[in-house]
Amino acid sequence: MNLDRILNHTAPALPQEEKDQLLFDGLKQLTEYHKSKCPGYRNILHAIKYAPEKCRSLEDIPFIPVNLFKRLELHSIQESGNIVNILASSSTTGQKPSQIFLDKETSKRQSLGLTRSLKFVIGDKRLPMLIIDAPSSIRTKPLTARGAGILGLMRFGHSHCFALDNDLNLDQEQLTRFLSEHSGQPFLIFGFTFMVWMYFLQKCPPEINLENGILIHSGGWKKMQEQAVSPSAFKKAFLNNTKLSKCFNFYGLVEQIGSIYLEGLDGFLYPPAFSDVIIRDPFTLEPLPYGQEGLVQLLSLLPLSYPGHSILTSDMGILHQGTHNKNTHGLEITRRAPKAEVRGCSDTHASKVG
Amino acid sequence: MHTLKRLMNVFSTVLEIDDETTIKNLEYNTIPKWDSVGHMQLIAAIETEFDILMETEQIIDMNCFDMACSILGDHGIDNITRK
Repeated sequence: MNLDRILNHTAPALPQEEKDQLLFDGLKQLTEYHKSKCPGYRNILHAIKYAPEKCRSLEDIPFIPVNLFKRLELHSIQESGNIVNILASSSTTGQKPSQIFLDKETSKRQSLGLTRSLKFVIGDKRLPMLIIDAPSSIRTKPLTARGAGILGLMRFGHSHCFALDNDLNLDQEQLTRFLSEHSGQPFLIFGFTFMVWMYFLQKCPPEINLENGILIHSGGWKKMQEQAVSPSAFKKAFLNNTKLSKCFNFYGLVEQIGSIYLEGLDGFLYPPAFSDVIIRDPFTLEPLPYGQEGLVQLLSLLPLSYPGHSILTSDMGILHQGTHNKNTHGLEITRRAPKAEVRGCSDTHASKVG
Repeated sequence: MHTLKRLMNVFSTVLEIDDETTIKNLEYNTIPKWDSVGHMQLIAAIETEFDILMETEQIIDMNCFDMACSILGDHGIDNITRK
């Protein structure tokens, strides 16, 4: 497996052609690996008549719709004792959550993948960390996508402080204490986009100063669109109200935790070295060129314990050539595919939907 | 107090286990107390006890008591005798 080699690359530095080759080799191996370990996945490959000898480029790697993880228990773990965690995508009533089975090895790959990606914005040292969520968010069993996301990010911080109470009200006392101790030096802020906007920025006292903060946020873009808050308006509001200028969005799904697409200066979301995106026509499923909107397919070398290395999401997006580095491409998520269920990190607070 | 003993106390307090042999043979994610939440509590407690700041990779690597000893060694706290 080429993972070590790829992980050791600094993400945007790998030329696309070389990256395509590394990903193709790795993903083809992963397809065979899961075919041999996961009977459900083997049946799917059989049904779509997958033939390895006809798989010649990245676009030929077979993909499965993310919704399958809701209907089937798809995993490649031989002994159930080796399952260390089961992640659930959504706890909304009436919907069946995705179930993602993790073993030690995959958990570690996810953590290392995330570390490599986030070092670009955080740096090498862990920072004091303000979490825009409730302490109860990480206590649910099984862990929700929201809780898993927070716990994953907590490794990049220390002196963690939850800014909201369990009823999602701003915890003024905690916030004041944290800022008086840490705001004189760089500190990390993490939360889901909608919650950061609704429960934090809208409720922050006017004199608050987050000048030294590095905000990393994710998910919830659909609800932000409903509120008519664009990514640039989001950034501007933070700058004007709190002096915070370092603000990074990222895109990622619970089905591929560890593979995150970090927002570049041009606002597009850039894949790490071990992941990539293909945009497909929603009707023919044929790959589409830059600039055309279609269904987002995500590729990642991280998943070993479940066959999630190539998944077709329910998100629509457009791929753009990199603004600063023509060798790369960045993703723009445009909307949820019509008729797709509400799901994923964006429904961190699903009762607000509709 | 001896470093090993101090580390043992931290594990014992956070994971609520008294038996030293049990602690020495434990691995991350094998008991409910040492899940990913417990792990962050353990890291915070070790950092406070020894006044160090681990790297993110060390947090990911620290999957057993022995590994915690070796990480302390990396931070120059190495007067630990292991059997």
